[in-house]
Amino acid sequence: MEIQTSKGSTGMVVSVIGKLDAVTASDYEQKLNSLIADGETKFVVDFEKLDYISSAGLRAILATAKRIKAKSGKIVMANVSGTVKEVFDISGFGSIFPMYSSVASALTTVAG
Amino acid sequence: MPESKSIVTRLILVITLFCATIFAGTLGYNYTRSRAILEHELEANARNQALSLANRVERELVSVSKVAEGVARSLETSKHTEAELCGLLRSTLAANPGIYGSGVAYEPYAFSRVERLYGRYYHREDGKSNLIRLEDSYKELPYLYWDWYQIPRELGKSEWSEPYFGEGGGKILMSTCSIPFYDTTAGDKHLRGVVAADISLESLTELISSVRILKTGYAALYSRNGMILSHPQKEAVMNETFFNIAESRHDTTLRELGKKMVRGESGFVLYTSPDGARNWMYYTPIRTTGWTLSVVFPENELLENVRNLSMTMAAMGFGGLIMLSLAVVYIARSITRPLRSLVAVTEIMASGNFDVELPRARSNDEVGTLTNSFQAMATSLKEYVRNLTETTAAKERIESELNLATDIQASLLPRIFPPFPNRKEFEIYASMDPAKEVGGDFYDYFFIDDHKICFLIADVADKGVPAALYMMVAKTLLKSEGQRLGKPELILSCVNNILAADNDSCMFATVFCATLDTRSGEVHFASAGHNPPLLMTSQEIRYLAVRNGVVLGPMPDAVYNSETILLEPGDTLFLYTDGVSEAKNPEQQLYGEARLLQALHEAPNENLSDLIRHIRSEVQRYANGAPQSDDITMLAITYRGSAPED
Amino acid sequence: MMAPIRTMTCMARIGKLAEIEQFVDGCAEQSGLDATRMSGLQVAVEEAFVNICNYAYPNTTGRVSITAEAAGEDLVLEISDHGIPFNVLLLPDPDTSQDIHEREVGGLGCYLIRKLTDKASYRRKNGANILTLVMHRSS
Repeated sequence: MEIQTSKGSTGMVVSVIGKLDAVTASDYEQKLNSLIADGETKFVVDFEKLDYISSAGLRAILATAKRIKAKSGKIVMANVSGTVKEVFDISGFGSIFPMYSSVASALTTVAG
Repeated sequence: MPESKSIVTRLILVITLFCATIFAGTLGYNYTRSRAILEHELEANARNQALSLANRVERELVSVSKVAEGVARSLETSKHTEAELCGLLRSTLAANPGIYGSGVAYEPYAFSRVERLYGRYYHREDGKSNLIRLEDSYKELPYLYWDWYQIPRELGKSEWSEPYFGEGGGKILMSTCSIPFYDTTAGDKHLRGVVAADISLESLTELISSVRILKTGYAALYSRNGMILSHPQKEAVMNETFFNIAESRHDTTLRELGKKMVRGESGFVLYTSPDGARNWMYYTPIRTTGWTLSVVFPENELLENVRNLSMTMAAMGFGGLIMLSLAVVYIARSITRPLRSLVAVTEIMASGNFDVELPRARSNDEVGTLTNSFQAMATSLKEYVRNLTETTAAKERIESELNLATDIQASLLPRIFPPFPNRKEFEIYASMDPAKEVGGDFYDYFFIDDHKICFLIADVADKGVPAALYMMVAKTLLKSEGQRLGKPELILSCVNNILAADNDSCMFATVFCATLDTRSGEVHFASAGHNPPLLMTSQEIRYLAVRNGVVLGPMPDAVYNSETILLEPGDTLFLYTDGVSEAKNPEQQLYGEARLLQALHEAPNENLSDLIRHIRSEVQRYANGAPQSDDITMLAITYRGSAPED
Repeated sequence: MMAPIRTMTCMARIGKLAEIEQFVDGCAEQSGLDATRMSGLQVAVEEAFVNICNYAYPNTTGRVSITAEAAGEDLVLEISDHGIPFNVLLLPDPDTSQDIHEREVGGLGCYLIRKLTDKASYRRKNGANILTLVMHRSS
């Protein structure tokens, strides 16, 4: 699994590539924690290149999202599709996290 | 006697109830405290037993793992040839009789660059050590995939396997300790192979199953997965897990307990087996292998001693209560028995018999005092009744004598009417009704000479015997002096002087004395303090005006005046005493002179007896039941005129 | 014609997850399951395996084996271990209606297993925990 980050106009764009499973979930969490520690508060997570997510991945996302919320930050999802979307929906994550069909629209929301 | 019974019953009930309650309370407390103490001690006791057993097990296991570790270290430090390796393994086996087999297996190409797999294993067989080349023992998979190799390889540390039945030498329960060893040259750690040592668990399980606790208590050993390794129920060994059993009993507490044991916790719990028996279990982990050792104490055996003691105490208490009841009955009876006989005696006494034998006081206590007081009371009652009887008898005697005296006295007054039937010149009638006590009223009439009749009425002061005696004296004197002297004023003064001479008692009498000349109808009269009589003529009835002299008796030399009236034929003189005019009704009102006058007006005057009877009945009617306080005495005389000359 | 049964065993360690995923990939391909459902099955198997790694062998590790069989219209997977009795399906479901603040971090694994497979069942036999997952191949 690979994580690519780029600073967007209004927040940090985190692209997750590959699989977010029990093995790779901790990497994701670590990366986000360091970003939060660096002072980032606005996040857009781009799931376009994510093929697979399991409960470990969901857990990592939830844990980091709570941390962001604790710092009065905001985190939104973009390009959630396919199996990943299915898993999101089943676990109710669809209603917790705002999801957008593009990074751009996500970025505009996160600004507000 | 219902009363006595209830004292005894009440005492017994109260005392035995109280004692029973107190005893039951004490016994109950004793039992619960003993139980609590025992349980408390039990935990410490159980822990010690469990720990000591666990230590035994650990020691055996640790000794084996130490040996294996020794081999592993030696393999790490230096490279061994095949011969050296085999020698090492053989000597390990020889030096440790507890170890059943020992071996080494190498990672691919770790022993020799030529042979991929290499492993040597020696085990005991018929007193000799038997060699097995592990690379030849494929079974399903090469040794690389066997648990005892893979697990320590994965974990990077030593591992004891789940117990299993070994194939060499029959079905012996075994466990294998496997230890990875590494090559630390070139900076980082590479796994070179795994050392394994097998031990038979027979002696351990034998040790544990031979543990005896109370009667049916036991020790048991469970594997990491809850599999039963040692248990008094031999069928369960390696067949049942703790969790199976919990499942089959639908016992969630057991399952939770199993989880705790698997987690390596220790604790002291009470659980109930399906047959309802309560058992205390202490469980502790065998740290080396992750197994769990438990010791079980059946509660009822534990408490047996306490229960027996309590039963004995209860029996003793019960016996004691019975004896107490008997003692209470005995003492209560000692109180109620004399009471009962006193009651019986009282009833006899109440019926009048005072000579009944009283029970003797047997004890010096309150009951004895009561009996003595009773005795004293009976004696004084007897005395009192005797006195009363005597007094009453005496009183009755006096009364009867008085009655006799009254009769005598009444009989002394002339009572035959008409007294002089042949003398037609006058008619005379008198009556005296005595009051309750002997009184002092009297009347008299007697002829002084042929033509003069003297009549008188008198009232002696006071009542009773003295008055009666005085009356007797006065009457006698008046008659004797009257017959001698013939003149009322002289009669009175003479009798007065005689009476006054011996008058220590200050008695006196009122007297009205008169004489009637039958030829002329002249009446001479004198009065000593007596109430004036009434004169009844054809025209009128009036009180006679009388110049009263002093009463007879107290003073000598009294002077009496005589007065005279003339009776026409048909005129009547009515003499009376104050018993008539002073008769009281229940309202204490006096009859009075006016009423007397009125009554005389209305009285029948056919004859004197009717007249007097009429007045008497009128007075009695007025009295209306009030007691007669004074004698009622009346005398009436009617002049008929002189007798024809013959 | 009976399809072959494919089996694999490994130690119950998270590191072996890739092997497991590979194995399931192979089975699913052979069975002709469509991509989404295959993904779902993958997730389910991962959840089961992770739970075994976490709970079945406390303080140690042990073997896990997966057997895949095409039985009629279904693809049947059996995941078994010899650890302590443990039924992953009995873990309580999370409350999916809660919002971010209330949501608990854990509890999703077993829920996903049940939701992503057509049928999931557990039995314990001969000292082994056996989790059976069934996917219908058609539909």
